[in-house]
Amino acid sequence: MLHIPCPYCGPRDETEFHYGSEAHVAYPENSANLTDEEWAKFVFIRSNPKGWMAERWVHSAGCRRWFNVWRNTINHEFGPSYKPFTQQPKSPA
Amino acid sequence: MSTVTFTFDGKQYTGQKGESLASALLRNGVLHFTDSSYKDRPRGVMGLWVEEPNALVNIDSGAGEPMVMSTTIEIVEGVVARSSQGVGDLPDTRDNSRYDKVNRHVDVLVVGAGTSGLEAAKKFADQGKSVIVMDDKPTAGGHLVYLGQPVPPELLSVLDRENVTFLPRTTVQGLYDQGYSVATERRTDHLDVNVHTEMSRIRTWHIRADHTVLATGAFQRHLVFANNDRPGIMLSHAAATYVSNGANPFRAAVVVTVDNQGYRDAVRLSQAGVTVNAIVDIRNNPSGPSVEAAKASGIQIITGKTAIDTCEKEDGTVKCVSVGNPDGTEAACVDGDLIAVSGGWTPVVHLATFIGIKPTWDAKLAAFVVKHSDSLTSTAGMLAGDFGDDDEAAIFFGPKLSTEQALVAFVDYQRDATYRDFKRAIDAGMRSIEHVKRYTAIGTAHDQGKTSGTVTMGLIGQAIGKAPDEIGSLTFRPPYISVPFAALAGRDRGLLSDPERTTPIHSWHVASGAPMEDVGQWKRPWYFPMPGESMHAAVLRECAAVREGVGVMDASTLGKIDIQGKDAGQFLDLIYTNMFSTLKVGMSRYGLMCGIDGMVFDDGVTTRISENHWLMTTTTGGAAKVLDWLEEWLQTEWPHLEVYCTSVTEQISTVAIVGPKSRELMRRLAPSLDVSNEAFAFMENKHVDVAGVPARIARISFSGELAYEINVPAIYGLHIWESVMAKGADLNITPYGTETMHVLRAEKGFVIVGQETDGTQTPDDLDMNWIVSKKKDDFIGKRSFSRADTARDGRHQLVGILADDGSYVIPEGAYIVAGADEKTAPPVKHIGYITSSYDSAALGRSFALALVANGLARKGEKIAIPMADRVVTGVITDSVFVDKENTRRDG
Amino acid sequence: MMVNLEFAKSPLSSAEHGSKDSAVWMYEVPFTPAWDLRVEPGNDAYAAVNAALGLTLPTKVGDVARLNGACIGQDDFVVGQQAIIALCLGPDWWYLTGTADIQALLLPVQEAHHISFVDVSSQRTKIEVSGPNAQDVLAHYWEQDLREEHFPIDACSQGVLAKAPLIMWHCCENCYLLFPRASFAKHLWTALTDAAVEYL
Ligand SMILES: [Zn+2]
Repeated sequence: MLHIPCPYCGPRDETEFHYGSEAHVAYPENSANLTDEEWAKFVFIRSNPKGWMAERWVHSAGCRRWFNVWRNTINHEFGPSYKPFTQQPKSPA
Repeated sequence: MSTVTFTFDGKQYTGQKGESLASALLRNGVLHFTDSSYKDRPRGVMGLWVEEPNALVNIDSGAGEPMVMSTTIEIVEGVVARSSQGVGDLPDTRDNSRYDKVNRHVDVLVVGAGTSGLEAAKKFADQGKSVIVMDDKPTAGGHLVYLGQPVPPELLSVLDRENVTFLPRTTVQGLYDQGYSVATERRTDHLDVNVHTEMSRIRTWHIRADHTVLATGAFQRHLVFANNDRPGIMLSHAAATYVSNGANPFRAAVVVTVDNQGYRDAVRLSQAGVTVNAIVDIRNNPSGPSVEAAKASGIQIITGKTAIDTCEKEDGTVKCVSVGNPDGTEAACVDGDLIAVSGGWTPVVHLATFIGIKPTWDAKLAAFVVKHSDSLTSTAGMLAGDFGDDDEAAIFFGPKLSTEQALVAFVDYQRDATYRDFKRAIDAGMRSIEHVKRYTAIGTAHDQGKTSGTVTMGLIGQAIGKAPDEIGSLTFRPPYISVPFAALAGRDRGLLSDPERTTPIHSWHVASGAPMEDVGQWKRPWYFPMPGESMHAAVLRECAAVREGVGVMDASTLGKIDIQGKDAGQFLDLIYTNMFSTLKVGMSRYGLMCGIDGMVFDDGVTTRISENHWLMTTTTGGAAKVLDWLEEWLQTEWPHLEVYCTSVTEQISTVAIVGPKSRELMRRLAPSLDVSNEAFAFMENKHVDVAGVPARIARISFSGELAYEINVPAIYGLHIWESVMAKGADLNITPYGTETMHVLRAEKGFVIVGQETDGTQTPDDLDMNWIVSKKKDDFIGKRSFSRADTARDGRHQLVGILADDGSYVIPEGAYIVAGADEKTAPPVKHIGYITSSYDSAALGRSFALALVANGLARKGEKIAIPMADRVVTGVITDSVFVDKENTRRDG
Repeated sequence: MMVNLEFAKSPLSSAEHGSKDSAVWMYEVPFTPAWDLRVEPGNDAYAAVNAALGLTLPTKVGDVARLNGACIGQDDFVVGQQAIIALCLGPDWWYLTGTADIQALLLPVQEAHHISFVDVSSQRTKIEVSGPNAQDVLAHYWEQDLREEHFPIDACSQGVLAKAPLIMWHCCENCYLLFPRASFAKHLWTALTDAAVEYL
């Protein structure tokens, strides 16, 4: 059971959160002008790295905030978490 | 020490209260405990604790438990045990014990209350940290307890400190990421009265520790020689401990050793009155204080030799051991009814390997050890390689054996896996412990290789000329020892296994005898049968009542989200496929939400309460998901929008009165309200007192009939329901459940998200193009509608299906095959499937909704549905069956 | 909102378990008014809310501010006539409860500023769990840290207890007020009374 650091509430049990996939994948402003390939890349393609990854979680059972956090996909180690639209901390790698 | 009576295999014995069942049986002279699982060879107890590979029993007293190690059972008066030949035997009686769970956060968790664990506890307690010390044995002290030596008071007293909690009989079963561990505490089995109605039998501890100290100690391991499994052959430390405590069925012993531990145990045996005929040491030049002590007590020491084989007495117990060179030569028997084997120590590395720490091989100790220290985890004691100064073990696991000897030289006792089995794995080319394990089943029994793991790795090394750490590493998985499922479940059983969510009107539904349907975690009334009425008859009656008179339904479970802010309209335009910002205050509108992939995600009615205040409803199961979704867009994409969302699902209770007579009933409930069609139009909302309670009435219909939804604060939900029932009595008001609701909406072709959809349907696929705005620049999902796959020909589309036999209700999920005249025997190509299917009172026949490839263009085509016992034929129709012109909703 | 007791029914019908002097005492506190408030800290709207309520809304998630208020359940505790208790649930989110007419205080603010102010009196019920073993009962289900230094008096937290989402307020010594969502109340009550069995 992961202990996920909510930037507002501190570390909480995984059961309080929902996963939101990779962070920093912005909704395209000009979706109508994108090619099918470009649009499909936004909808379906994520980087899925082995190792450190910035990802989104929402603290559903707590403060209800979406936030970003570094997580190592190999050993579940968490790096710093941070609020949306704030400076992204360096990868712990 | 008091005496207790216990039963083993139907025979009564006495033992000392609190000693292990294994110890008590030895005290009574029982050596032959059981027979082996596969080869029926007589077996006795080998070990002292959870490393025991042989002596399993079923417990028939107390709570009852299958397959437990007799070495771990503390006997109390009346224990009834049966020997177990490796197969569990669940008791027939119900286990009425309680099981529970406790969550605890702590600064430091110390696993193991031996000397090193107590030292660690003292260190952290001195720093003012909160400390929990767990040990799976009944008392603290570790090896000192076995040796009968006092635990230094300055260490023992740490357990009494205010910031220290000691949990004996508590086994850490799993260690996970970030200092999370799970332990089971045996709380009642050792008590005189061991079935309690209040106290849990086993408590599962969920611990979050900032730091975890692993001081888990070590187990002794055996050696692989021929006939090394006879009763009377034991691990030397175990034998010496039993005997020293007076559980001594032995007269003469031979100690076979690779280290100085054998010498210490020989001296203990000797002191307890067992004649030690010889210490057989594989080493040529043993040295150290223990060796000197054994020499001083006059015990014969044979060096450079080891056990090759054993002989049995008539009763199958061991008679003597043949001692020879490691290559098997020059073997000669030495008598002993106890063969005490010291094959070296195996530190308990399990918990460390659970979190990915790799043990390292210490050649001097002939052991895998874990020397580890970081902010989360550290190791101490024998686990960390601290064996004391008097130990230097030979790296030796067994002599060279002939083919015949290999057949009876056991590597894993419980699995009856022999050196011959092991050799076949090696000869088949396997080198990794993981491969050998799976080929031979070594290490897969209840003990999970606690003794056989290192032995197997050593044997592989010996066989191919490598050190054990070149073969691989020991890897274990939780749980550390077997755990009853009941312990892990704790209170999460029966009613408490999953929450039952109920509405304020639930008690009325239950009292009326309505069976409940599970909708997510909600309990919703399914239908309201009259006495003796079948479900089919009840649903037809309820449907007819709604279409011809008036029905009432509890719609309180719908998800509700209060949305406020000046940009709420703009936000809803982005979330829904249709337009909301133009909606007039006091009006409601049905909306469809899609994901970014353009697939339908949820639906519901949203009402504009005032200029900047909206109330969204979601599907019953979708409320939490939709709120997460709204917050996601507001927080991570459009934070500039001034919008706040608040869940009000349980704040509002909704009672829907539905049917042509609902207008008359509404008039009675709210006499001040003008209920005429002109004054209160479809999709309009009115605020008015109903039965003395402030209410919002919405003219929303999910059945096509004239309907009013009465929304009140939930504390008044039951009151409103009862008022509706009272005022509608002479109108023959008919409460109806989810089944009737489903039939009525399906007759109108209204989809249910999750029934007509599975996450792969666009609004177009559902024949709902009318709800997709052509005016809006963008909304979530829009761009995906023009993707090649979403726009392609041949997608599954929502249609109606009428079976030719109107009395037949096609099962939901049934596959549809094209053309009634086409081949219907497998293999066939299906063109779609049934999503909803009911008998209809309004139609006087059955009908169905279905998703069919290109279905909208195929209306009128014949189809066939192959069932197990027949082929059903029918025709594709429009998805709306009742009131296509929408005339009924206005009454 | 004035509660018309003639017609109202609370989710647990004022259930009680244990007694004042037992190791655990639990009971429903029905019909306490409550509001969900959303406002951005630091802006004019936030200042206006504070001025209207007469207290400063705490901005750290988990902090609680009270005005005249003590524990709101028991008769024994002094409850001010104009009590307001503000639990900070999120960076822009508060749960307000108490005896003051909070609705009347905040309606003018809502007309002038971008805030969201929603009556949630029926959304949740309240269960007070008190007594020497209160914390033990909660620890059977509550995964968060209940140690005094991490969850002191006047801390609050949202989480999941026996799989039921709720707000917990550590309102005074050995006393916790739970605010479960109404639909989970019966389930939660079953779970709490079952966990109390060892202590009663
Ligand atoms: Zn949070």
